[in-house]
Amino acid sequence: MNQASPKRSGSPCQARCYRALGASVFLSALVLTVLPASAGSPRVSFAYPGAAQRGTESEVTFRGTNLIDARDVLFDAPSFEITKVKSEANQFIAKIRVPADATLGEHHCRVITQSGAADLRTFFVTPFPLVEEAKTKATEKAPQLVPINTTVYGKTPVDDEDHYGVELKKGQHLSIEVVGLQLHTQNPYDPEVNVFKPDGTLLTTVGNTVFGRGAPVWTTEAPEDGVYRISIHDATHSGTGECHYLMHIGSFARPVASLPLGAPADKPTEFTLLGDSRGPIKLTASPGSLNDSTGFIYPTGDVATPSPIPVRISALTNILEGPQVASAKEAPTPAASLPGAFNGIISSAGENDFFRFSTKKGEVWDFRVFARALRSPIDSQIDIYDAKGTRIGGNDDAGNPDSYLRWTAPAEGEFILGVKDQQNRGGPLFTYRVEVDHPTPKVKISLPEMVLNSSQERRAIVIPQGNRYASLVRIKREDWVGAIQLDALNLPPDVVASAGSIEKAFDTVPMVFESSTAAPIDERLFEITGKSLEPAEAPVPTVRVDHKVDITENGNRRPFYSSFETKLPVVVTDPIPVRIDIEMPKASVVRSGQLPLKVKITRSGDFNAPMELVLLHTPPGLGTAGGVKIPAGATEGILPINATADAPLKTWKLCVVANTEIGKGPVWFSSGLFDLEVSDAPFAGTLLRTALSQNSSGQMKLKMEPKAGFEGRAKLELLGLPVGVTAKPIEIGPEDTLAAFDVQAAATATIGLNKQVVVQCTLIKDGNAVVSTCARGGILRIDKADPAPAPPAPPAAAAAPAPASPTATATAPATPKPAPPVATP
Amino acid sequence: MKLRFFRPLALGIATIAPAVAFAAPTLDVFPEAVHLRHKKDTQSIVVRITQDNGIHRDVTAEAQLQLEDPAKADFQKGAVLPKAEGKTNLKITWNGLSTSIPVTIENPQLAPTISFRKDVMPVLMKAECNRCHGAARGQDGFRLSLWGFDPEGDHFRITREFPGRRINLAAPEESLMLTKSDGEASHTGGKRFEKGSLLYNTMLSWLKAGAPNDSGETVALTGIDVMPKSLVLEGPGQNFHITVRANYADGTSRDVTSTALFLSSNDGAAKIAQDGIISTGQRGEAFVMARYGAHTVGIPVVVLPKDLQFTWPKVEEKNEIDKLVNTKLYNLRVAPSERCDDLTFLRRLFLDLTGTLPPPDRVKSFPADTNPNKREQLIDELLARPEFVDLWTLKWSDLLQIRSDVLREIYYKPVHLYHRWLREQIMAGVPLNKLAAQLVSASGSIFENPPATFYHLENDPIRVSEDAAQAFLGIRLQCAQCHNHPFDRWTMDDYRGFMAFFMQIGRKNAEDPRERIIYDTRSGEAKHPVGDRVVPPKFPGGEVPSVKDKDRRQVLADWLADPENPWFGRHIANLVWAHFLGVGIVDPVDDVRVSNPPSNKPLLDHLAKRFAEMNFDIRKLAREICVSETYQRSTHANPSNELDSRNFAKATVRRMRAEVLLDSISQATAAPMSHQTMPVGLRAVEVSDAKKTNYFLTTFGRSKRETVCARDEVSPTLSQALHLLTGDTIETKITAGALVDKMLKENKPPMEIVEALFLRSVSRMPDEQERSALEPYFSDPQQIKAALVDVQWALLNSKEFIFNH
Repeated sequence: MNQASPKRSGSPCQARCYRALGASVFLSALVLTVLPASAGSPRVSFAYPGAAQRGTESEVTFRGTNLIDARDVLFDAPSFEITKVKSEANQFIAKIRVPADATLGEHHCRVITQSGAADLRTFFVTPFPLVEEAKTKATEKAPQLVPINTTVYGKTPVDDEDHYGVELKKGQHLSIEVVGLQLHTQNPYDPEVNVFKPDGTLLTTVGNTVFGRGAPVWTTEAPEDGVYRISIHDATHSGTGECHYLMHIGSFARPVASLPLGAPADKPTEFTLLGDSRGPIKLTASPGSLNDSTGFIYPTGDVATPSPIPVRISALTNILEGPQVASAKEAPTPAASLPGAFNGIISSAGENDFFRFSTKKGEVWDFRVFARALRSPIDSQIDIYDAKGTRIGGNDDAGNPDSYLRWTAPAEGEFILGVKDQQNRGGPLFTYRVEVDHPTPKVKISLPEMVLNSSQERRAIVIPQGNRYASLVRIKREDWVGAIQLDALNLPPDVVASAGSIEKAFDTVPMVFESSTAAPIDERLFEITGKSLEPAEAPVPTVRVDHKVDITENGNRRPFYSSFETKLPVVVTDPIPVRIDIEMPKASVVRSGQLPLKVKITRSGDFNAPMELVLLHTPPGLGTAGGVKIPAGATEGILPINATADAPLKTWKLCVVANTEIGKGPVWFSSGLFDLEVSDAPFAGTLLRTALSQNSSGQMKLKMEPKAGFEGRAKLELLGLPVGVTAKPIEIGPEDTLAAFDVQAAATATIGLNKQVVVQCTLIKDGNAVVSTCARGGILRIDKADPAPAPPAPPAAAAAPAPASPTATATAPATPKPAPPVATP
Repeated sequence: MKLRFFRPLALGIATIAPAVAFAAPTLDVFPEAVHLRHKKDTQSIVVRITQDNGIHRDVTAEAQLQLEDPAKADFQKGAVLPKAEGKTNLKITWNGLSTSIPVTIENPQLAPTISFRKDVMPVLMKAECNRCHGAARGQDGFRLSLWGFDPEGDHFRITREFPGRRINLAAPEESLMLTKSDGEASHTGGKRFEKGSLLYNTMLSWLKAGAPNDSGETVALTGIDVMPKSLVLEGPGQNFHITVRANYADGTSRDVTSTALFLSSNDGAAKIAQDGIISTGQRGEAFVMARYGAHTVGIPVVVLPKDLQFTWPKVEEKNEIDKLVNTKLYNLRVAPSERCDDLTFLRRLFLDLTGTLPPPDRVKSFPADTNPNKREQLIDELLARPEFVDLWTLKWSDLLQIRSDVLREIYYKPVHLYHRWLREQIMAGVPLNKLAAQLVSASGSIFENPPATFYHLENDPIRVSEDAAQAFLGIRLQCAQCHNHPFDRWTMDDYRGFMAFFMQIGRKNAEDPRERIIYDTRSGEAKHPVGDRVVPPKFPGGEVPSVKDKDRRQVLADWLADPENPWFGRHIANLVWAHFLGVGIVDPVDDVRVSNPPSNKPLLDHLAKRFAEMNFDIRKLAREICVSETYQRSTHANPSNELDSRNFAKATVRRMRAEVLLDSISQATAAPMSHQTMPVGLRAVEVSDAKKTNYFLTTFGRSKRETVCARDEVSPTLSQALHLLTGDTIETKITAGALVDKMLKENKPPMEIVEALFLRSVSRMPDEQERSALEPYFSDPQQIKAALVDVQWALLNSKEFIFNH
């Protein structure tokens, strides 16, 4: 039913991607494979230019697909003003007014259309006017002159090189900061900058920097008066035609590291900012308001710095490194008491910083390094030593590539924390912060990836007006176990969300968002929070959205650039001319049984398009054969749901999603949540082993042990009979423990041993047929016809007691001839 | 006979130089001293004379050999035998020439006990038991270790594995080990030795002694000496016997001529019997080898026809290279070709040093230049060009297998950075030993420290060590992974010892998915497959260094970069030589082994020595080669050298390698290459990643860089010929460059355009015959353009264009 699934099945890529989906026991792989990969319009690849000056209005082009009905851009800060200029199938041009007080640096946004929400993309706010690369290509001899404090932008595919000239006085400060990778979505881009002195000689080449995520960041003082040429190109000469850059050329301060690397929320702290060519900058600042998050420090000065230095916000007390010592046991005293945050710099190659701390026996501590996450070049390695200086634990890369260690104090007393660069490097910018705290329970909420290798498809909540949209929501528990009830906050008016609770053993639940017909067209960021349902069993966790979105993807491999969002997008779009509702099943699905789920399709106007129905997720023990295709014009669909023999006996909250084409790309909508109960089989049946000759008849017996029981009559039918063998259905009552099917073998019946005979049981409950398989693996042997028609044979001796196991009751003798045609008790 | 003459392996012989006037015959005796250490110790003696024409003769039988003190020793059947403790001299006299060698006797009464390793294992090798039975699953139910790499296991398999008749200590003569070998019992391998022979008796003595294993440490065999070291003989029908001495770790040595296994690379020229007697055949060169234990040592033997009439021509010698090449040529009685003309030299030098064709104006001006040093000046000029760097970056990129492979998560960016780093090193003239050391010891991020990519391209320590041995030392260690090398000295200990340097490499992910970090884990050992013991790091053929608390790769890098390193300099010098002369002194260049000896050992020794003196500066070595007369010889053969391909008597005609050929076509047609995502105009030699290729390059054998390959792939194929004739490269380039169009628009006469096309492609003017043949095609003004394009096409399809000559 889906073009993509056969291609994917069994490929190594598939295996890899399933792994990446994590340990969800709840999310069915089916959902991931059956849906068309093209679903989820609209899409945006990038914005050009990917920046605007704060306090100004400028035109930005978003390129992508299905953008014909684009109307707005949803920014991470609400104060951006958007005016639509033009929307076409492949691009959306908007005027963006950036408020004068917008934070400088990276922002995230999505293009919103009348019918959907596009991908999360980066957008940069700069303090400087933007200048595009000249239409007439600048050359080495005639670079494009720009004033100091300008943000230039352009494209340098393959071997293209852009040249800018900036006039400087001797001693004047020059900072260059390039944004490359974060602007891209599919291919990495590796900008490299050459700076030439006025006499044309090379002053420097700047490539990879950690602070710039691979892009050049550099400051200097002009050695002489004149026009300096700054050239930018792709270091690998392999950029595509879309690869573009932003380059801030200015006299701004450009430190790239901070000491300490963090501070408590809202508490003014003195930071020393490092890396600017004019030397360290000291400033006192508050990094933000939310502990356990990332804050930003901006150097102060006449000229604004276009991007901040990220620091850690946490309530822990800062401890700064003391004097250098040669070994762990010489670590400076006094011992710090935990929790706390150790901060320092590995300033030279081979340096090892030591911190002494005291703890009680059995206390559990998390040592978590914050360094590369905050753009420090250090490849941290932490070690724990006892007071004698013997190493008793440590970690290199558990925090990718920062270090993380959970450690239980083996004794009461003093211990030493060692911090170094794993590669024994060091330098003035190798700052680090090691936060040491007790583990705290957390629940992180995200929308799981719905389409393989496509991080952004169907990961926004897009609700057609007066309709529903369903999404899976996943939680990740840290240091906590328990059930949780989710709740959505700050939804648009007239939009409600419903979800079942997530039990202890599960991590994923469907959430249905429904807007009333009166709900206004709207887009915003909302949050999902959760309430612990079993507070007695565990401490109350902090519940927060932590939704990872890959911005620069890398096929099915580790992405180049990802963002962790704390809010999720929700959009109320134009109404669509179709909705689906479940005809609530009156019966449960029986173990080993099947339930045909009826879905009512309400079409309005002349909407006639075909569609596809899929169960959003299939809980353990349940299954669907993918989804069903609904032909054009149909107003009802049947989605068969199967239960395995060992399906958990419980009631699930399920939901059906549909996708169809309404002329603007595929749209997704859903039914409401409905309950589906899994109940036990009425009885357990065992088919007795039977042998028949061709052209004869006999009985195949079914032994029954009651389980859930039933009322009224049940119809039993033998299925899986070999060609040329027939048996009429029979009826039984709840009290029966033995039944016999009259089996007829034709003269042409296929000879051999058939081990796949099953009994299908149909019960009528409240007018609905409840179908299940009540016996499997029945063995029926068909032998070659005897020369003369054989009369019914006397009962086989072993069959009389009818033991439980059909294999043990094998009634046929070892040699087939002469064989009794029917085994009778 | 002629065909066979130059094919065999050959080695330089420094005994005769054409420039040296030979004196009277000289007498040499081998060995130079006799030292006997027990009752059964003997020493065979070889007496050799060198005639005034440089030809050797074995005169042991004719010479008079006398012991000064006959009470101390005896001389019987060509060997010295011990009698009494003490010292004396052996006096040798032949035809008025005489000399003497000292003889020392120790413990003449001592009867040594038989040793399984020292006495029986050599029998198994000499009789070639452990060749057939050394197969992986043995032979006919009996397995020995191939060439005896596992004596302990062999002892077990002979004595314990199969109870019964394999050995019979009650009746040793009945042992299958003997009855199969002497032909008494049926044996698929036939009779291996005679009953009563030395081999038989050794085996029998061991069995009679109870088939003992050696107890305690046995003294290790450190090497063998084969004497004399080289021979020039007149054939056919002459005999010359050689003697082999084994040296042990305790400083002792013994005559093992009778138990060494002998092999010849060319039985037609010089056959060697298992008693160590060479018998000459037809004219040719042979490499005669003795194998004993894990050691194989060979000597070069040249066989000349009797009374060959040969006159050495008057040839100029620019430097030591010419002297050494000419010495060898004289020994072979082969005359070198004359010096090539200026235009040939110009084109050859441009292609060899820069991978480009000479520009037309240089083609015009160079022959006219009367400066006697113009060739040297041109060499210096081209050595300074960036294209020289590009060409050697390409060669090193092949050697280091620089290629991306997304399936193995080797992305283009690190590959590009690696290539760029390599180019910068060569541009800056970093000594090549330092370059290799940087690669071997590289750690850290492959973005920050690109040479560490060496360890990113290959993860498996087995492959890494084999690749490193082949790339930096020219040694193929592969065989020794599972058994001692059958054609070389390398043992499994050597293999694991070298691998041990690469066992402590850590690799981890970095922040960028394309990046990796290489680091020293300080743990991990190489285990010997026999017994699973840890093998400490050991330099190939060298010592076991101290690696405690050190980065093993740094220790290896220091050894590699040491000017005294016995392999690195020789290998790279040979590689550079092969680039300019079309064939290595050791060839294939990356297959240095005992049984693939250099065709001119003194020459290779000299180049290696000079290369070290030059601080491993590739430009200086290239200069020394290019200024030599040997490099500047014509490709035209003379009757004596027409079949020579290994001794540099004439220049080799070489097809341009794929990248250079494509660049030359681009240059000749003025149509720059447009190569996938590479900048337009980038030359094929500059492309960093082997994955970025095109049909032309693939067809003409561009290295895929999937294995270490130090050779340029220039073998011709049918698809190459067809591609040039009918493929789209030449046609497209002619159209894109539109040279004929442009020149016609400039109103140039057809013949002037023809000249320009000749100059651009084959780097010469058309000769009279060519002019007159072409003239008629330009009579019809309508057909001039088509005719000129045809001329251009024909030139680009000519052998003269495709080959460097």
